[in-house]
Amino acid sequence: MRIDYFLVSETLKERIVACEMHGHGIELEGFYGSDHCPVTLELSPSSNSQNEDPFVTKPLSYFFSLLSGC
Amino acid sequence: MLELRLVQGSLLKKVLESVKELVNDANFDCSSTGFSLQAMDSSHVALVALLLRSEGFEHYRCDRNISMGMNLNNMAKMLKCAGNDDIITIKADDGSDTVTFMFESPTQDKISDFEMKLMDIDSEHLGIPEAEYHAIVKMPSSEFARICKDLSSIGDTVVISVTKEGVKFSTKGDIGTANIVCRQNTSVDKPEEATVIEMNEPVSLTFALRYMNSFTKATPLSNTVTISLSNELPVVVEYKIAEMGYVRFYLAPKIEEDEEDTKPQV
Repeated sequence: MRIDYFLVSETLKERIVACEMHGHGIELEGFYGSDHCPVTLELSPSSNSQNEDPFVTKPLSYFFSLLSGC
Repeated sequence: MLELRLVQGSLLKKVLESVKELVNDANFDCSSTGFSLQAMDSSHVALVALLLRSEGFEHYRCDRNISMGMNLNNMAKMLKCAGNDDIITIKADDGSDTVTFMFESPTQDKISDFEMKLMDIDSEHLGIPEAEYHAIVKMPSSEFARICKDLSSIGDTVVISVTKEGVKFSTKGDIGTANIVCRQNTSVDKPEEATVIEMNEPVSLTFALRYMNSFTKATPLSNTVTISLSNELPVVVEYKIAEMGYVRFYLAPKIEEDEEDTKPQV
């Protein structure tokens, strides 16, 4: 029985490096701890420009609708 | 039926080179007034508007309004086969699914005939409202292209600021910062080498340099470029096309996120 999952968005899918269960089977082989075996997800670093960009860009239609007052 | 004959065929070649990087597919609209195009990039933050007025063609016949969907890369490939001095004729029958490009060498000793399949393109046509701009900068297009290229080697975004001192282009990146100031200079010998700044109000806007560099592909079309700015509104970068029209690029500004949060909700 496994109740712990990672859910990622479509855009994050490309950045998955590894996803591991720690411990398996009823004896929790390979892991010492609670009865919940942890799951880890490793993602590759995001591109720098995306990470550091403090700006948002709205689509042009937003600005054009502002201008025409509707 | 549509039949357009352009003696200065190189203009059309240059137009295609200037827009094909931004837009993959577009509808060309032909009416009695001219040959035009409006298309957005895939992320909808940039738009190109092209107009070639009917009077600029040696021969312009357009019996009925027609819209032709074309892949711009393929169209550019076709136009590459025209010589720089060739006369270009564009022909299409009503309801046809192809367009024909005819290239005639100046002495008419070589005539080429290329037929290209048209596409059905669903595109969003944005009405572009009239706007008054806080600042309008007119400068040599080669100078503007050089500035965008130089700043791209330092950072990803450009801040364009207009004050009474002049227009400043700034960027910053991992290796440092860069600022380029162009002051107004109207006392040059040739008018196309002047930098003219009209300013009603100081302006400061941030844009992605990647798009600005795309726009400067239109540099061969015109000696001068006109940059129209208003705070928090899209910039317009316009290149005139000889006496017959223009290509205009609109780009949405980048807005700082904290600024965004402080705005009152409508």
